[in-house]
Amino acid sequence: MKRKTIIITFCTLTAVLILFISLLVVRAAKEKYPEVQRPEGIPDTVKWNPDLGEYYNSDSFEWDSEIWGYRPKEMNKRIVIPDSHMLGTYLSEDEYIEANSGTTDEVDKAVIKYYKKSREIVYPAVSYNYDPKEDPAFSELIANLKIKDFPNMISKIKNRHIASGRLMHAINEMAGAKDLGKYVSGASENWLLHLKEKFALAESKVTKAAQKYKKSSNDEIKKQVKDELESCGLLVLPYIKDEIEAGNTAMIELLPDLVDKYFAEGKDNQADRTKDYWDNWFKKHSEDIKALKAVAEDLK
Amino acid sequence: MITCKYIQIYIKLSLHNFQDLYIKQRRVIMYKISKIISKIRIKTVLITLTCVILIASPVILAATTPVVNSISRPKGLSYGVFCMQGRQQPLEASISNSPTSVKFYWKNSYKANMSASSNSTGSWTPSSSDYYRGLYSFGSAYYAYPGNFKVSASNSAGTGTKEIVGYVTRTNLSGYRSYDYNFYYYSEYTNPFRALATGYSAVSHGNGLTYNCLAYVVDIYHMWQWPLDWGNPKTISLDKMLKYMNGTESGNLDGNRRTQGTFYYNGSTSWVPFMTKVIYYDNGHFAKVISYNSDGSPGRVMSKFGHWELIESPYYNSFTSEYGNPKYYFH
Repeated sequence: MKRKTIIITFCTLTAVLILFISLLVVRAAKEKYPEVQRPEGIPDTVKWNPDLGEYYNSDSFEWDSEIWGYRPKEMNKRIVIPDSHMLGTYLSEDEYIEANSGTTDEVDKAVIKYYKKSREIVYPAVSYNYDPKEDPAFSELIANLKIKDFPNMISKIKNRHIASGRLMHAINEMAGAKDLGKYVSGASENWLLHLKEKFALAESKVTKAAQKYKKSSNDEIKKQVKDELESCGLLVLPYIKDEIEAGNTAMIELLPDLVDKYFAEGKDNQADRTKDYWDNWFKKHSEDIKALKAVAEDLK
Repeated sequence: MITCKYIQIYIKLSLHNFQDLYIKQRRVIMYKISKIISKIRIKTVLITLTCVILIASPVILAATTPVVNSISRPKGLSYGVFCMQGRQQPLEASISNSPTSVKFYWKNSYKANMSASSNSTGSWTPSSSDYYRGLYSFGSAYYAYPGNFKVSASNSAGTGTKEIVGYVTRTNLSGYRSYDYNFYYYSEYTNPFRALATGYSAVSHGNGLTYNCLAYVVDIYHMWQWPLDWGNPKTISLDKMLKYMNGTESGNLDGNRRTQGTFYYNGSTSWVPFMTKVIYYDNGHFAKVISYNSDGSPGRVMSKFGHWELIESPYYNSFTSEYGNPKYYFH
């Protein structure tokens, strides 16, 4: 009887010991890297990660052993994006391409071609704002857009088209208003306001230039006028045309440089560019002139 | 006696007549019954047959059309599947009912054949054209605009399909390593991707539908942040940057003071043990500190690589010259 009790007691104790050791092993397995001694001065939000043996910022992150990595905690959804900074109705460029694949709209067609071209490019992972100079596909966009498309482009920019930013840059480039590039950010209203001011400036500069031309035929003054108008790019063209038609034919001199710079046409012989030549040129480009005027009027 | 005999004869005769009559009637009845039965049998057979066909057809079909029970690779997690460009992705699916053809699709585009068996396998290497350029879907936390991986199994009886939500990364391993030389990718479920890349169209200060490293560190997760007056990312004025971070000046939408997100009022050119929250790198990058080493120095960091994905980096100082070295520590 005594011997039996001893055996039972021994077995029980062995079982308890095995259980205890098992618990220790399981616990040790769970806590691969136990926190030895917590250094002083650690904020409460900094917690110990036993899987990796390191402290982490539990305020912003949570450990996920399934992916063996940290996950950002739920985002702050209180941030408000002003309506003026949202773009269109499409959630992606591809969605826009799919929805407009059969479009006859020249601007949409050009944007789709640009997106398809830019698809081949992995743009750098940088955080600063878009710069057309850094975009090899941007020339593709410019090549497929025309001055006569400006009113349509402006309308799309106003309606927060998905490619608003690119269209603004395109107008800057095509109209020689690169200084407006810095306003192509955030709200399109800001850029439109500066474009409006630029048209107004072009008109007033041409008016002043016309007066100077009437008063003097001095080469120095003419050069001065040319330099002043240059900053307004192509926007001066409709106003110069008006002046020429009103009889200030001397201003024809301003046209060759302007046209050669902004229109992709062969440079004709200077001597052949008579009044008739320019009359024909304006007829040929009546749609472009009309478009520039329409935009100027639209922005007023 | 004689009377009894007559009665007996009468009964016999009656019985005989009755039997005769009975036999005749029975024949008539049997004939009628057989006629009815023969009519009923044709109808019954037709009805039964129709019922059997109607009931059995779907059962037969269900039993023979392949069923894609599960897709085990790419492995779908609640968190997301990130298949990397240029990396061979194993494909595995459990399929019943003897498929004769198993195909793998990405965004409804056929990509690869898989073996025609119950444990179907295959592989697919996503290319740059498989990247789907999603804009950031406002309001859906970290998820942008993912697509679907689909396994389609067929045999003569029909086709069964199953889909899981997935994503193809912005670029390949070397592309990521050109920014973080410790970048790793083990599988579609063990990798450092923590949120999808966002579209490129909206990359411009203050625009919604995308976000960048600066926006991420100040907890603005759906609006690009790069103050207009910061200029070249490699020569940001520290003064301007500090004012943006504490919201006192600049920064901002169209020149106004930043009023949203998290503000950082303290910082230094060296890390403070266990306190560093954000690191600014000298070529214009920002990252949030995830973890700390035992001496309190920053360990892992999380940052948005421009318009690319949100990425966990194992070391805070392993960015290449593209992002530069730690220059300023916010706590």
